[in-house]
Amino acid sequence: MKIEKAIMLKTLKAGKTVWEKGTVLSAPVPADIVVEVQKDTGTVEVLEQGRDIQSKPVPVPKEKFKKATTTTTIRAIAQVEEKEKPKLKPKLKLKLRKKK
Amino acid sequence: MPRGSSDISILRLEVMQKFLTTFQSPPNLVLMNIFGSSASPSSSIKWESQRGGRGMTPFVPPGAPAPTTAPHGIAEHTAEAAYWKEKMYFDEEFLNNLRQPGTEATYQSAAKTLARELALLSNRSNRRKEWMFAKMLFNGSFDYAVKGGVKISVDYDIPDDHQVELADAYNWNDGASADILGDIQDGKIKISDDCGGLVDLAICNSSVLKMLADDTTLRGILQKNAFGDGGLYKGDLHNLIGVNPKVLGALLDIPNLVIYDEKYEVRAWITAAVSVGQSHIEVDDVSDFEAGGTIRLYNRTLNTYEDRYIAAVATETNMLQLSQGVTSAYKASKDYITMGKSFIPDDKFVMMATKVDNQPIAEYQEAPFGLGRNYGQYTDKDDVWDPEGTYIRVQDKGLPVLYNRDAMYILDVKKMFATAALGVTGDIPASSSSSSSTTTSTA
Repeated sequence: MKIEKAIMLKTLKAGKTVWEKGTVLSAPVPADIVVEVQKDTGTVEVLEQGRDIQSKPVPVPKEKFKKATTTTTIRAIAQVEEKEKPKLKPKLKLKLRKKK
Repeated sequence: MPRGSSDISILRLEVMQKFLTTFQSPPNLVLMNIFGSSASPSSSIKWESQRGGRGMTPFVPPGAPAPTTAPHGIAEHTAEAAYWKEKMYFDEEFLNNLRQPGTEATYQSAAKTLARELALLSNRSNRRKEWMFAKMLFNGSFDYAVKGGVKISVDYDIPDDHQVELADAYNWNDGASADILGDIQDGKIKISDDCGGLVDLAICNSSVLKMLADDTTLRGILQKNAFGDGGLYKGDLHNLIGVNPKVLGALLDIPNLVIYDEKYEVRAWITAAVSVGQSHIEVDDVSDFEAGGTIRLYNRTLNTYEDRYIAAVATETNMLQLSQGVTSAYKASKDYITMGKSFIPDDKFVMMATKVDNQPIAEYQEAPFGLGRNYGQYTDKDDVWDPEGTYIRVQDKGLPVLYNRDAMYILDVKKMFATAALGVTGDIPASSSSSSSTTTSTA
């Protein structure tokens, strides 16, 4: 969770540090304050919530071939791959035939 | 032909008033006995409070005019006095027993009952006074009804930096970085810095005493080779937790560490039928019910009861929102609920200097009431013709006032469970939705 701005609803004490009621905190907000927000203790109110880069969904790499263990699966994947292949230009096809 | 209570000597007003004054200041209600009282000229209580203090006269060259001074940090307050009263009915049979028509034993028995009932009325009235002191000292404000049924709130304006909540990791009960000794020292320094008062009184209930006694740092210090004679578990032990608060008080250098477990109970009648699974109930008066409190619902048909946490209180509609649905059905006007609550919340540790500059920091101001402008707890009676009997009434009026707002430090040492969806806070354990309720037979 990334907090850009928060306001203290109550005076909060964390060891020697004291945040008085009404204090507005800007990023980077201390970890103790983040915990208060996460646990919804009612001591802090988030005024602005920033984009949290760390919590963005990480794209999962495609692992089609690695996971395919049986021949049927490999064949099925191969067919899919075949379908996805871009259509070759007619000229190119002719050339290939000549070579055969 | 005897009429009402006219010829019963024991029911003479001066005799009853003597009863009540004998019962006054019960020793188990400590808060109302800490500070003195005075009489206010009217029911509009006016007082001045101070922040800071310790002013000093400046040097002035001889022959120069004296600089004008005024006490600094003064605020003027005014509030209507709170008024409370109730009456109890005694029927003709009881009055006849007091007239000694039968045996001496009958009379003695009736007189004993009368004394017990008057003591009950007196204690109930005193508990309201104690409740006001508790709210002033631990919450800094409270609500009450004034003329016309209007509900008002008195706020004692305790500074924000004197009402401190501990961050999650520093909670005394389960915080990984809990520093009880450091928190108490900081509070004492805060009071001393702000008003020059020395903390001479700390109050908490046995729930917080248990946190103090269980703290490994404090226990380590209190070992015989480190501090004192290792007498945490010796001497004048607390009846619930079994530790000696005086030893902890000596370690913390607080002359009076008071462990106060006194409770009060409020009751209300259910006014609309409650079906099984329903999680809100309507009652005749929700005034003293608080979110986070535990109510007990009594089913008088089945002779059973069950407990539920109060999630929210709707004052306008006299409705209580419960933490979960009920397991039994309840009838309107037949079944009732009660709520028992400690005067001191389970999460508070309060320190105070009871005197600053040798002046008490708080006081109870009695206000005049009734036709005779009575002050303090007052009783009277009223005979009724049909059904023949007598009502005995006890009433009181006044308001606790705070003269020095810097002399207190209210520390919230434990997180209460927050019910975010309802916007209320209650001491509801997160994982106890099923275990929090109990259904037990009262038979």
